[in-house]
Amino acid sequence: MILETISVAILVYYIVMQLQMVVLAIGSAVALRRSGYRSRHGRLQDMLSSDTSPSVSIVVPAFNEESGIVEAVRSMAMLAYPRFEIVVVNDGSDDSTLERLTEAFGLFPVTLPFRHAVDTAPIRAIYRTTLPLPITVVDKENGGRADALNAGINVARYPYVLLTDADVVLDHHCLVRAMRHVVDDRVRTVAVGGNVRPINGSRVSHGRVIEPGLPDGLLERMQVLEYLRSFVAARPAWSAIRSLTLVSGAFGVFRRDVLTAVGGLTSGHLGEDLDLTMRVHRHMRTTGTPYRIVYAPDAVAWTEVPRTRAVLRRQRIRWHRGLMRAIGDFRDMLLNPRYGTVGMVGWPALFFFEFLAPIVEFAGWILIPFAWAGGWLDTDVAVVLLLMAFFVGAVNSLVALLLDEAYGYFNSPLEALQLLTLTFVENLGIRQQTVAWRMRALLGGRSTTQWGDMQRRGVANLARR
Amino acid sequence: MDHILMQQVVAGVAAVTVVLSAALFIVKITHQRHMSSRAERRTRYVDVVGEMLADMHILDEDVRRWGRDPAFEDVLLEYMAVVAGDERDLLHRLAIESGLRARLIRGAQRGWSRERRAHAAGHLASLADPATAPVLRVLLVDRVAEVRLHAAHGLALIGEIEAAPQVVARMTSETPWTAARMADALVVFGPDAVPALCDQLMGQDLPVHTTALVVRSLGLIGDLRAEPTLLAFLSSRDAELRIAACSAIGKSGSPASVPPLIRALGDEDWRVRARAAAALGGLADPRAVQPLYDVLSDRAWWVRQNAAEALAQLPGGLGTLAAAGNHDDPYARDAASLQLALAGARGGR
Repeated sequence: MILETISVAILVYYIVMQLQMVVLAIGSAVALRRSGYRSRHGRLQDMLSSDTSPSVSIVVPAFNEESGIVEAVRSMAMLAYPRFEIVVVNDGSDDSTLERLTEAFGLFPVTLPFRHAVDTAPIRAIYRTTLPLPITVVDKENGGRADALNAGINVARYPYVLLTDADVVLDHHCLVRAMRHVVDDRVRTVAVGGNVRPINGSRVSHGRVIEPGLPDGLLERMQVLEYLRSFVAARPAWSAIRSLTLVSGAFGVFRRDVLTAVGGLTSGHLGEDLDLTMRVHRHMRTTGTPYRIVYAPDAVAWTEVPRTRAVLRRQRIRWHRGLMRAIGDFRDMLLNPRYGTVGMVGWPALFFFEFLAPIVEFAGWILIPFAWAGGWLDTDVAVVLLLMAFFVGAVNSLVALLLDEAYGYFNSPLEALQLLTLTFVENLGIRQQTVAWRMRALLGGRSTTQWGDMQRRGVANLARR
Repeated sequence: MDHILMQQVVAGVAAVTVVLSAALFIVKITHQRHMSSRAERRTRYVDVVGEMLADMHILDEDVRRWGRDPAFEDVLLEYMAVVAGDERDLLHRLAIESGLRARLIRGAQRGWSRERRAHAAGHLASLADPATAPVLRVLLVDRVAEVRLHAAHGLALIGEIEAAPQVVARMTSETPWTAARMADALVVFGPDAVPALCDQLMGQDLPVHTTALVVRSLGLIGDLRAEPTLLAFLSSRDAELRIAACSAIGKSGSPASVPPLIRALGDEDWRVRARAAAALGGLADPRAVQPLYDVLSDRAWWVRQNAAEALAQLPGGLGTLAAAGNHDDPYARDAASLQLALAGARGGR
């Protein structure tokens, strides 16, 4: 009886989780419609020649990025925005990242006073370019991605900072689309997250995505679907109810004074973007300052997702470890009305449907077959609930794909068919694999606490596709 | 009983899955066909309208039907953005004869969806036909923000100068985004609107944020008739207005603006001092060299930085920066050496 109850509870939990995502997708549809309308008719292009656009510092950490750093910086320098600077932070690279930058942009050392607002590893030198480009390069001792971003935040001159990565390809108009939300409400907007899409399978030229496409590998395609479910079918809704718990590390605009007030990013944290977003929430709520963290679905940044099982495994373990640490660090915010909708809705959803999901699902793998084999679980009930879970999950993916139609990135019906097939196939093995990886993260150990080599090909190599 | 209900629920969800799958596939195929057909029509319109412009004559095509085609609408407006004079008049005639103008006017009226109205108002604005000015003036007070915004730009493109004060009046009650974009429209009105805008600024008690936006727009227009008004705002009690005035004068000012800007270097608000320093760099007047040298030791980093940058742009400024290498203040020496390094490196290329 107990086993039957637990088994049914596990299946019901899974259905509720998927239903929650369907509700989010419906909310996202409304939010995307509103956002699309404002993008089409808000005269965004006029912002490019305006004297009222807030200035932005783009901070790019680079560790051993010799293959793609020059192309990445060139691509960023061509972004459509009236006033911005690029601060590249060479995080003690062992390769010739700094030499490549020096050669390409004619760097020379300068004495540049900067605020030590956030502690970082020592800075060796600061360089400026001889070209008429707003580029500053900070050369520092290795301290990790968060430490490099902190150094960039210290050196950044402008009141808004875009935190991104050297292997991210930014859409030409992403900055203007993100900063639109800042102009809308300068007082309350403290952060704007962008829409991150997998670049695998797309055609890239001169640091720009010129033809989005679907990758060949099954693992990569599965990640395309995952990104769509998260960035297209969930985040717009979370943003609409002021409960966005994650501004992605690949594209996040923050007000610099808020970044320094929370002490910058946490070095050594495996989920530093989640940690930063939650610390901003906590800081603003604790100080009683009205604020908003917004998601800009039309501000697109492209990132390379893992191509091999081994790299994907490392990434997923790292993400879950980061989540585990954040769950511990922000446990006081869970179901705490003092933190508003974030404490009552956003953070609990992350806890119950992200953190607990692999545990519950893993328990289900063991208990449900056991209960069924022992005759404690009615076959009809089990089959019906399993089918229900399967179909609700598929509905969720399909809604995400339909919502993505607004962007029209995948125009070929063949690509639609491939993604359509994947919505049904991913539940038959791939999903279980990721659950196993997340369970591995829960077990801990040395291998789960390191970033590892993500084996990315870099913007320049993607360009040669 | 429960089992039957659950089976029905599962069947229902499965049916939704099938419907969504079919919908996705149909949407993809329809969208692809639609885009491909539109691209074909677009190519044809580009050719035909191009020929009409070359001959300065509306060809005897079935023009009447074109006004309903979005592909034609796009092509006409794209041509409109790159032609002037008689060619523009011809395109206006084409918009009338094809029925496009009438359709856009109808589409912008109340009763349609917000999306359709904003779309029509936007294209009506891009059409910039002087005959549509009365319609756009009505749309300027519409309840939909995007319709008002497009109307403001349309009136600016047409050059309906009398509407400029109306746009400013609207800006007082708009959201920051809409107000900022309406301020961009003021720039499009151009120099002819400057007297009316200056009168409005001096004669009406506008909110600070609206005044600051109009002041910045006057700077971007760059007409000297605005100078007395801009200089008057340099002594405003509100720092936001003094900052906006410095910024505007830096873009449009004459030598007469230099002494007031030099006085602004001593402002109590560092943002005004920083903006005044940057503005003096833009005016390239040697009288500013010594005052800028003096603020190299300002307590605010941005003031030192902008003063050093300004000196690098002024005649004789580089020599002064070099002399700042012996300045008593280490911060002044830093600011000067950075600019000298940049000037040297860039000059050496």
